[in-house]
Amino acid sequence: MKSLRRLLESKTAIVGLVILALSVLAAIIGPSIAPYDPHEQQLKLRLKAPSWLPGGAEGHWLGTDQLGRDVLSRVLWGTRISLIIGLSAVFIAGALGLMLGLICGYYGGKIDTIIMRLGDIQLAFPFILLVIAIVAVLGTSLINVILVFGVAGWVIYARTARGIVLSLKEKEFVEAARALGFRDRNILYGQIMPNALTSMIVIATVRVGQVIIWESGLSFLGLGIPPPIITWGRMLAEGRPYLSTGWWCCTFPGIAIMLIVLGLNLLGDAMIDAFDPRFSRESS
Amino acid sequence: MYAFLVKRIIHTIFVVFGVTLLSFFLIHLSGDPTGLLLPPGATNEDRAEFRQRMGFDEPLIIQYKLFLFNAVKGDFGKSYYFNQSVMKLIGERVPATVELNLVAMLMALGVAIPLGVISAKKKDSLIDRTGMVGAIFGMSMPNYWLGMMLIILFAVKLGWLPTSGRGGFEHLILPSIALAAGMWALFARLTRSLMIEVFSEDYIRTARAKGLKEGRVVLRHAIKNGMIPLVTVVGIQVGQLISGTVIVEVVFGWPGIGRLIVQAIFARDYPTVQACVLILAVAFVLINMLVDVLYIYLDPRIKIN
Repeated sequence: MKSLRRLLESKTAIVGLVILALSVLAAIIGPSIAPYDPHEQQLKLRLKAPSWLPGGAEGHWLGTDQLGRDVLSRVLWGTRISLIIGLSAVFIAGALGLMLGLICGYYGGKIDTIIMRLGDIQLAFPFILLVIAIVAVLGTSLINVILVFGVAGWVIYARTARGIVLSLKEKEFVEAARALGFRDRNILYGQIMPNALTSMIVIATVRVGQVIIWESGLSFLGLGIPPPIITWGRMLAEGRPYLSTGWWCCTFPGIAIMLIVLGLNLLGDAMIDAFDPRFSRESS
Repeated sequence: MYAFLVKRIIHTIFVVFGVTLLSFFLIHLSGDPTGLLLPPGATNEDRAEFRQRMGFDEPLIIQYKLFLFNAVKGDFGKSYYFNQSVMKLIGERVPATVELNLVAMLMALGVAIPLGVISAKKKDSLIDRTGMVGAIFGMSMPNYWLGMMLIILFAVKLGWLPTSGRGGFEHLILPSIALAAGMWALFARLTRSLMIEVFSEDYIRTARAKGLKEGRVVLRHAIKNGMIPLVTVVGIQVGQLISGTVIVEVVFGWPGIGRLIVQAIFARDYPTVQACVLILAVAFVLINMLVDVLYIYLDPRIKIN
């Protein structure tokens, strides 16, 4: 509770939370408040500047793209998909990593060696390179992208959870549970896992932002989610040939990515300070 | 120290072996690799002939042995799309990627270390706060998007720098900044944390008490001792750098391995993709091993232990 109070007293956390709350709100109600159908093409209004600029298209606050589609409406629709991918991939990676880390730390032995060495091998691949290669082979779809980011992201959680289990498994409360006849499974999930959850949540918070950036990169390369689903990365790719005539096509989706990731990074930073006083002293 | 070195080398050999295994299985992920390597209109006879010619009808373990044997010789076959040896193709692209990555890394360190040290010395000042806010923004933006924004400003609007391609130093500036931004931010934050800790150490107080000039205290004592953990993070960041290179090279039309991978993926030239992934991963593993060895030399405590 003290940690939570420290978190809520932090200005960094508040700024992060406000940005995130607005992003989540945009993801939920964005499609209903979007001024235009994000797929509607108005070829007469191709590459029109934002309405607040001289010569801008009236009613199009962030301008229109190369097919006359409203940039603001597309950015709002893109928020939903970015959050869905970020949260789902991190949930899968976190659950998988936590489970494997708990098992490795608690049971040790061969299973620990095998799983941790597999992690070492996976970490040898620059992450986005591995994801690009797998998606290129498996094909692009929403499910594939979420699964690949989810499955490929387990190592960091597993290593952290394993470390926590190793530091806790000889502690008195675990010994006591053992003496009381608790089963291994109950000790692991009932006694040890709650202690690992805080670290998992902190890592996951920052990781959601990273997945959002990586996914946008994948979509930018044409290896992400296929149309008609709107992604910020594809908006950037489509706007790239028009950097000189329609800078707004690339600028605003990028700002949207930056803001949401900024919110997550600020919250993540504040969480580290609040939940881990040792780290807080180091970085203060 | 030698036990550590031997252990580290054995670990590296094991990981490199695992990397070859995973790279080999990449093109088997979707099942039959002939589906990936042949055009969609290929007949069953074509597939059977191709499967036999490529050895895909052999058991997987035999195929892997052959792949490993050829990889050790540097033979990754011929690129269907570029119509030349994959190794030669990669060899032509490596210098461009190394050049871009090196300049980006030097740029990131060159900005981050002074900024981190100044931020630590003037903790909570305007310069500290501005630097750290800038750093968190730098960590939050996709590097390829920053690249496009730099193109709009410095190439399109101001016309100072070229939009793309490889040539003189002016071609390197924008892609290097784009690639360096995320790392710069991370290094600056880390340097600040490390320096805050170091500045409170007794030996720094002693150095100051001896009457050494502040510049000398910072350079000879604080940075030299306090920055050792940064070496490890720099090694780890090489992975991020390689990941970032793939997209930044596409944005700036930079003729490196990253762009080659993307071109090969769209041309369904999977042997090239496989070879690039393998080579980059092995390079990453070796760089990290070198960083660990360097760490031993930099930190005498490890030698003693």
